[in-house]
Amino acid sequence: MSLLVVNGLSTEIRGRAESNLVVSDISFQVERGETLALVGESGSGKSMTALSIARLLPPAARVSAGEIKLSGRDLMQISEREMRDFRGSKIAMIFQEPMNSLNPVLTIGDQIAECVRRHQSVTRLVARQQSIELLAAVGLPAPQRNIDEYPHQLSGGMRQRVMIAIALAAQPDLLIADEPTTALDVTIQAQVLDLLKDLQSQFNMGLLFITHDLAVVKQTADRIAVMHQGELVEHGTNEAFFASPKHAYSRALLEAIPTAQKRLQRDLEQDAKRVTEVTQLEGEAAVGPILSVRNLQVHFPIRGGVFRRAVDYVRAVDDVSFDLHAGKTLALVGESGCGKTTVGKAILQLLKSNQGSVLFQQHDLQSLNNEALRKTRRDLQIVFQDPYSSLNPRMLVGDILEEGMTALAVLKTAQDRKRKIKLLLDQVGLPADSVLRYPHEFSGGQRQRISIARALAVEPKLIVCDEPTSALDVSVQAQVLNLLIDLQAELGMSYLFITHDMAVVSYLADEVAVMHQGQIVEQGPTDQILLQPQHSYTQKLLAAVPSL
Amino acid sequence: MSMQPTFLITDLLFFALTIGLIAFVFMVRKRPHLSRPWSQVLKSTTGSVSLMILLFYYAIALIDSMHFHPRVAQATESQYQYSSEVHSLLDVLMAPMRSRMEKTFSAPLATHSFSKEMMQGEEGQLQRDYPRLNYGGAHLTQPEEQKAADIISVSLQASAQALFYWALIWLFILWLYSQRNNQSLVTLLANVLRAKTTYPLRAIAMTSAILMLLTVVSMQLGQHYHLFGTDKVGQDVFYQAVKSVRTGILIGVLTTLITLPLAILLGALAGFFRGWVDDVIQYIYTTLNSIPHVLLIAAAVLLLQVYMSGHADDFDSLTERADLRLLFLCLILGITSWTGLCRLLRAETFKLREMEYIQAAEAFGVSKFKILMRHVMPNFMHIVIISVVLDFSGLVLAEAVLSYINIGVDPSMNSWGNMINQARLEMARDPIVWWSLSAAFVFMFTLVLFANLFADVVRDALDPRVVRGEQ
Repeated sequence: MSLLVVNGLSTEIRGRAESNLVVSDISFQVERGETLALVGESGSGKSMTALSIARLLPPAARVSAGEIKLSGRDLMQISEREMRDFRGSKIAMIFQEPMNSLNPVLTIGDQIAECVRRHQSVTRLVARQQSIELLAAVGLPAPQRNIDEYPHQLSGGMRQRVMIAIALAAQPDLLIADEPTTALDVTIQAQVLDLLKDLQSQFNMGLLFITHDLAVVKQTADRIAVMHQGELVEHGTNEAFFASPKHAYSRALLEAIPTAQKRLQRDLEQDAKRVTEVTQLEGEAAVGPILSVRNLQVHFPIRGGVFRRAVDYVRAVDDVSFDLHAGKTLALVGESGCGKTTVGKAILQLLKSNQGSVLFQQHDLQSLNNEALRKTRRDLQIVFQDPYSSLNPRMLVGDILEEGMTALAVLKTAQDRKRKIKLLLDQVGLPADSVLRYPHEFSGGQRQRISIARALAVEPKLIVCDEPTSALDVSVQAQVLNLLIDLQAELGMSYLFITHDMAVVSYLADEVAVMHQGQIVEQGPTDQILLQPQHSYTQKLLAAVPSL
Repeated sequence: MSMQPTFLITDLLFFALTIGLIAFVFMVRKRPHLSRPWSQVLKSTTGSVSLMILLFYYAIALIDSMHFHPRVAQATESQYQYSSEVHSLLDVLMAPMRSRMEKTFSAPLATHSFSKEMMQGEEGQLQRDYPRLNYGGAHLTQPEEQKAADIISVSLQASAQALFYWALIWLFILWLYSQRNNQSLVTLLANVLRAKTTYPLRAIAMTSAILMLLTVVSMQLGQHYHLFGTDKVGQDVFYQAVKSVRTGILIGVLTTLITLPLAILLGALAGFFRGWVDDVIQYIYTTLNSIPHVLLIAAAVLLLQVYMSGHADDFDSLTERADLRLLFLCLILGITSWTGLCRLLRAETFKLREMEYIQAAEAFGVSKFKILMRHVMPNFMHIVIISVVLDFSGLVLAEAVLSYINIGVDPSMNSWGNMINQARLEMARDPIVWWSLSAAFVFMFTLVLFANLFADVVRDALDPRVVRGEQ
């Protein structure tokens, strides 16, 4: 008998006028010791499926049809009381955000012991002992000490391990992991994935693994189910899926993932168009780098004492140097907290640096006075990571695009600006009537296009792209990356591309600089870095990247 | 000319505010992206109904703000003498209620006084009984038998009148509407009845019917009775309650006008610039907050009283003195009550200044001032709207508390606070004198309730994210 059988499950969200079917008629099974990956983009209904199984749906949603059987018992038929016992002991869940899933005012030990004692009648001492064992099982470095620590004292990866420990506390039969590694860095992601695999075989659990990342799926899953707009469009074994995806949507998903090979294909397609551009740009490159950063240091003071004196410094950026040539893309790669975003902001003079110089077209930006800096701002722009917080929700798209032009006096008359806005919207592929709409009326990918148009409005020579695609779905990410490449070919801008995603790097960067703890540990042409990494950290980083 | 118009300071401020509001409406109408959320407000039933009721209150206050000195006697051919008393247009409309004073308390719609008096009987003997009122039901010969029938017939007649005019007016409005939209009047009527119009015309029509009925019936009954009874000195309570509308609205609106610029400006500055600016502003509001507000208000009001008694010649009438005191009260209430909102806005600005769109604006070299105006302020306006409405109700109530310790509005000025304060002393009486309190309560409650409902709708409409049910 299968561990989990989902048969014809439909879940709807009640709206004001009509109900919205978010999961429609899906069926699958999970066996003991097996991993089923539920794959899909945001809004495809994969999390709703998981919440339906655990009966943790939000109040507005309900299961409208179908049955869910766990070890032969229909979960839809049992009372809420029984269900509470099921959760934890039979079904456990791990969520995406390790930062929000733990209670910040309770120690790690309290939170694990709570779950242990909920499902077994043991004394506090025994529960504590079991908690320590669990922490050791999930690979925390010092379980004896960690058990009395609070969540904020642990890193993101450690917190996710604690979450897994809590999930395992009652030895569940089925573990539902909802994007457990999405918020983590690649090296930590690799560790957590390994851990999950180990624990699964150790406890002989069924694992329902929900993710959007096909590379992760290939490494972990036994079988794969692809969801699209609430429906299960494809279901098969790992090998069969990656060998020949049957459904058109699955193929589109796979094709959307940026890789070095695809870049070559794209290059070939556009050869004719690019040849002229490239020669032209190389001519410029000979003149010298458009941006050269020398020995840049950004330190944030840690203040303490009565007069808030700086007692110590966080060395966010420590002695960073690199060159960027006109029309080229330099990727700044590193894990979260390595200081790559700080570098970007320091270049734009949004943050003050302590030492070093930022030479833009041979002018040191730090020595410019306010007026000269304002003039230079025309040439330097930024595209941010989060398309939701980078656009003012109370401004019309037209006003957002116009702001830079007005502030920097790029175009004098309102009519010229209007014409330019129309051109910009056309360039980034948005309808002309977007001008009178608010940002919230657009999807994440469209918003990122607005952000790009905003940066383009002042005709910059260099754009700092700070993880512009990391908040987007793969298929949208592909569109935005292609847009950036096309715009570069058309307008000849340089990109400083800040990212943590190696696949994106290989797709569009000319050169790569790898950052680690505020320093650049290795830099060079993309092929060289990706294929023959010299520094041990680069090697570790590349090894951790799951590949297709 | 039979009167001499006069403008009190609060009248001028009130008119200026009204002109500002009208200008705002015209400005919004011209800009499609601004008028969209407001038409959203009007399309919601709650929004348009509460707006109507608020406008009704506002209209009463506006009519009550048109002051003049009535003419008393004609001295020569071309020179008139004017009374030193100040009347308003509302007094003219409610003419009989203002002047018809009874001796003391009487219950709503009563014909007899509330307390017994020594009277001379028909045969000249002394007896204790409830005397007839001077005005309340004075036209009835047999009050016990005739009163109920008279009240019903007057109400019915008034209702019929009200409904007739209401129907006429609405037919005219609908006719205009149908002409503009090229619709036949019949289909439009059918649509209105089935509530299928874009704007909730049926709800608006029904609200206006209720308002019209209440107005006409109460005015007609008020001609012969004291609708809400009389107070201790025999004044008509209904008249007092209606007159208090102006005081309540003025205190709410003027105080808010004083609070808002202080709170918004200082809150945004403190949150945006941090550093020493923040320290200074925090210091100011912490200091202000640590002084009991009642003390500050009492000191300020007493100061004003000293000034006024020292410069008695500067004031033509009692009304002018009361008016200045009202303005001063709004001022001092405003100065003491901006700190809470300022603190909220400072915290919100802390959050907003880290948003990426503000950094994007900085990358464009947009000036700090423009960033504040365009990116920070619009994004905390929802907090401002919510707290303004909550404060508005709070201020109307604060006025009542302050009247209690005699530092509120002038005792000669009609206000709900004064009414409640006076009624408070009568709560212990048996049978209880409940009408003053209830009248003030009903009027105040309606205003505060619909102001809250309206603010809810406006907030939802102004927040672009809520409109489409996202987030």
